[in-house]
Amino acid sequence: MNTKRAHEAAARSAEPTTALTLQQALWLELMQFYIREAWLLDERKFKEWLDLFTDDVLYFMPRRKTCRAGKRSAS
Amino acid sequence: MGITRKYAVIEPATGKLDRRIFSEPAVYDDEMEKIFGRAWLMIGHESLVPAIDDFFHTYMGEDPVILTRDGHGRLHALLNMCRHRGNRVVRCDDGNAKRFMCTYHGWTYRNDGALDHVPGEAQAYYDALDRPSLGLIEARVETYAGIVFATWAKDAPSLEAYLGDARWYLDTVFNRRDGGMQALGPMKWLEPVNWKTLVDNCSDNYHVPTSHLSSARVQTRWLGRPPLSHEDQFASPNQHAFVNGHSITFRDADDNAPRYVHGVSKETFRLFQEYHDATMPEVERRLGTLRARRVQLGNHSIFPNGILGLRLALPRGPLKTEFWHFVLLDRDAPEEIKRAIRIGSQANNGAAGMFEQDDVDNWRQVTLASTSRFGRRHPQNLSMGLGHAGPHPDYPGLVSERYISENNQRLFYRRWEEFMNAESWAQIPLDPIKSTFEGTATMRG
Repeated sequence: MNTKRAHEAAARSAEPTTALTLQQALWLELMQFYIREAWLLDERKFKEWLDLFTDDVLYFMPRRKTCRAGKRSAS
Repeated sequence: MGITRKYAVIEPATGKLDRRIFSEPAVYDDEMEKIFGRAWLMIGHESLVPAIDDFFHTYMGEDPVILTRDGHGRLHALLNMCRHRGNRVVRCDDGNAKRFMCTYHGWTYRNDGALDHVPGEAQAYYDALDRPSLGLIEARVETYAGIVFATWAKDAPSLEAYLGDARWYLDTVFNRRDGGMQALGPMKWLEPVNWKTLVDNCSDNYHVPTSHLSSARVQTRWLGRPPLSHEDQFASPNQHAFVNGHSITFRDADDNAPRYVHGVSKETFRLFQEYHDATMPEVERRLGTLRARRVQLGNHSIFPNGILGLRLALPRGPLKTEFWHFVLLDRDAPEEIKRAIRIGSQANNGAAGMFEQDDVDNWRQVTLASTSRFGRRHPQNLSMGLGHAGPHPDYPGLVSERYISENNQRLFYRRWEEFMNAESWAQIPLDPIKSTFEGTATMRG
């Protein structure tokens, strides 16, 4: 979904109480994206799943580390 | 501890291996005493504790150990167990501290292990506590090119003698540069596999074209690596060598190409070639011409549980192993090289590594087979290349004729028997150092 269009559509809506803020529209779009990503993985559509990535993606999974209270892990 | 059980688990003439050593709790208990209680164990790297008062929490077998650097810069390996009731005095993975206080009753130890303070020493103990004898239990520590080893055995030989001629090969990775190496990590995860299966797999090049076919295809397609086949492996000029329990596979090539490390791809190859060319004079000065130009260490293990560089197979019961995956980098390598190796290493090995995942399911099944009531009556077959290994004029250790061989595996289980059947270190045979270590590199780096 296009965020701007969703926002405009929401803004055009007759009931002011149903209008979405930009932030809400973005949140909806993100949820749609995650649902689609999960569905692609569940259906083993890995090529389509790969197409979701941009070329400059950084996939980062932090290492779990036990630290002293009050100290934050650097890695 | 009383009567020593005599183990005969590998038949030298046939290569038949008793599966029960992978699952029986009594065997495992013996291993903890006779192997992990005696051998020099890899526990970390000096770069994990670079500064005065740094510490890093690690393990010797199942025992939690604090690797510390004291106020004088000396390294210590201290059992993480308060001498009073046994609470752990360190609860985090690393840090910097002059003292460790037990959170149970407040006994406080210096980072060299000495018991420094006991609450109520005068009043509650009437000054009768023998404080000097109640320091943290300390293991012997020695280093090889920055890699830290420790042993509980007072009668163990020096680390130099323990590594023996295996160091002739290990130097080609771990002792290459004047600036030494640095360790990143570790990444840790648990697998339901017996620790020995990972170790013996370090010399198993037979599985590579089968187990790792899909990963190898990915590498061929996306990284420009040559395709992998059984035929290539059988015809490979690469070899195996075995010294004192340490398994080595190595490549003998004089093609002036950079040694294969994680992170080499079409895009990065030039970078690695430039690094290889730029550092060759230094490497040749450090290791001599033969080792610098021709010998390239491949997969290897350091007895008992050091696997593929600074990686540990930490036993957690007969049917479980904790993997610790560090990445070792030449400290003075350019940042682009470090980045490529760091990312490449994790793409191949480590919890999410392609190759690691290929391997682990095989090992799970091998471990499971050793628990099968009927299956475990039938031995593993490690007969490959029987009678096709021996001394070599150029290379130290017992060297196999081919890259694909189970010579190292048979000898690994022989070494296991030697440790398990010995009453003390005096009964464990050790090959004397015979190699000439050309160049300036030493145990100290």
